[in-house]
Amino acid sequence: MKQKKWILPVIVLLAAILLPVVFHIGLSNMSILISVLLYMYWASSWNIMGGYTGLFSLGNGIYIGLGAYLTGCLFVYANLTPYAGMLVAALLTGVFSIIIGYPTFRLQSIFYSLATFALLGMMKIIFTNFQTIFGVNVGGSNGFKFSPGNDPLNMQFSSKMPYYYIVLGMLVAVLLVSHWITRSKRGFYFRAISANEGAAASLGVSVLSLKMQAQFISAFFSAMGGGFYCMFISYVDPSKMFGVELSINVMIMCVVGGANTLWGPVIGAGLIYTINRIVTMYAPSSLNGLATLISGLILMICVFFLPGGLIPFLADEREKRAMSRRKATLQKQSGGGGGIHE
Amino acid sequence: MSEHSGEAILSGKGVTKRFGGLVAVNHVDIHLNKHEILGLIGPNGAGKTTLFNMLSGTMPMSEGELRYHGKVIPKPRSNELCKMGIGRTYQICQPFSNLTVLENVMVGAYIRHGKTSEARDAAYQVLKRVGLEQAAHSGGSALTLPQLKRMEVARALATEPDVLLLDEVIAGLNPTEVERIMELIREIRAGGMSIIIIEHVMRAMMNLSDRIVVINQGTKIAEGLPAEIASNPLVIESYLGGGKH
Ligand SMILES: Nc1ncnc2c1ncn2[C@@H]1O[C@H](COP(=O)(O)OP(=O)(O)O)[C@@H](O)[C@H]1O
Ligand SMILES: [Mg+2]
Repeated sequence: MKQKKWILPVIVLLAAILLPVVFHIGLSNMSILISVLLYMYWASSWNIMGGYTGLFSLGNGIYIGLGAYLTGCLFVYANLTPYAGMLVAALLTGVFSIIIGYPTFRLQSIFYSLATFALLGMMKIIFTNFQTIFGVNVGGSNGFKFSPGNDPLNMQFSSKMPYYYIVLGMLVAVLLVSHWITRSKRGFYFRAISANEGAAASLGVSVLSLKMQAQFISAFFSAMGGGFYCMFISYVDPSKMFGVELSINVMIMCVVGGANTLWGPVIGAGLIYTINRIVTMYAPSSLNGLATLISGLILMICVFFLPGGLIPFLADEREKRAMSRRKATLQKQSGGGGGIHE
Repeated sequence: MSEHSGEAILSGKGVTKRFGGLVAVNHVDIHLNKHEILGLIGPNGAGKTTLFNMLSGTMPMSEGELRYHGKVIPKPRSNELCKMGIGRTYQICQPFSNLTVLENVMVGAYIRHGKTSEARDAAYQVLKRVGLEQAAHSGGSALTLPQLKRMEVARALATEPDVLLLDEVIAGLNPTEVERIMELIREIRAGGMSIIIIEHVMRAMMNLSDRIVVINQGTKIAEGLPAEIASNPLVIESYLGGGKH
């Protein structure tokens, strides 16, 4: 039973590894694949606080953006290789996330959401209006740019394929960590806090400390993704990083797929990204924002018809079918008189 | 039962809670002796739950002092009191709806068993003890009221407390269920725990408690053996005769 659960993910992973080797994938399609994986990664990072712990952040762009700027600046100004720079950036961003999260942790969750959303707006204002921050030139509204080169030791590749494998590895890492969390004490505490803080505290859970941990882990991974993104496109655009669209999209992807599940953010990101892509391809360019509108509509449909998202819905259906099968066999065996305890 | 507080395991002195202008609990002195079952009774809105909230650190006191094993707890917090050995249930059941029954109880068990496999075993043992093992894998929100109440008790028990505060775990159950849960409470005490129990069902309380404290409108109006309480005119007037049954 236990092994069976692993078969499908392993097959999917093998397929993902072999995909660019077996097929020749063009440059633009490769970019699309990398973007999808990155969104899956970001949605999974959001899930650790937004899904499991109930810290419903509307501003994960804060951490993505900070990770991107820090990694880029460390690379350009301090010659730090992005492999280390991403880690440093993620650690710093994690600490920052606790500092800004701390005052809001004691508030009701709606205020936490609003606070993260407000802070996202502030970050955007700061990074678009200041050319230099703490004496570092971050480019102001033009964004932070550097010229791409070919230097594998600094995560600079002439082909896109290495980026594909890096982000795939990062996705696998965040999924493994999420999986490990959900099965550990910490993960049960996260979910207990999400359901009922007071009851959790009465059972010995240190609510504040665990919220900080969830926030740190989630911001850490989000920032790593930001750092990767910066190295991938050699550019950080403050209005994209700290814009509403990115943060909301990451949240929607996770919620539509199924927050609080391992595969929800992966499925959700794949679905929403594909739909957004199709809409932007075929919609007249005068209608920009249509993609966001449509993902918003999908979110509403999900909230109405599939509370919990796609994954729990599918799991429920399967459970129901299995249940009725089990019942049928039991009834056959006991001649319909089974005293099953309901 | 001796009443001097020298051997009290948990005690509150001058415990007071104000909600704005309302004094929900007014300078109540209360103590729980080792291995005792203390009944806490009083009409609806008397302040029983609020008193529990302060004894368990769920709510800060406006005034008063809490002692555990004779030592003053300067700033009682529920998670810390739980670690020290005070467990509680909620009158309005608070299941973690995103977890199964077993997992709900595991959240309690983790405080003594850090490893998931050990916490799961411990939680399962507790479920067996309260007769809920059949529902172990149902969702926390899919239970009937009696099952929910037993899960509340199971979660608190899983924290392996020395003191257990039970807030109306009998209310709303049918006579068979009441009998079962009373049996369970006696067993728990026999296992060495000290218990304060809030209940409306008078007969159950008279039967179960070693000692009873009565509060009315936030004030303690009587304290004594069940027989004394049953014949106390003040209690009869304010509680038994006050339209409450
Ligand atoms: N959080 C609160 N805020 C304001 N008033 C409260 C709160 N909790 C309880 N009260 C009030 O305090 C009084 C005592 O309530 P409670 O302790 O629940 O009584 P009991 O458990 O004895 O029925 C009631 O008048 C109730 O309305
Ligand atoms: Mg009450």
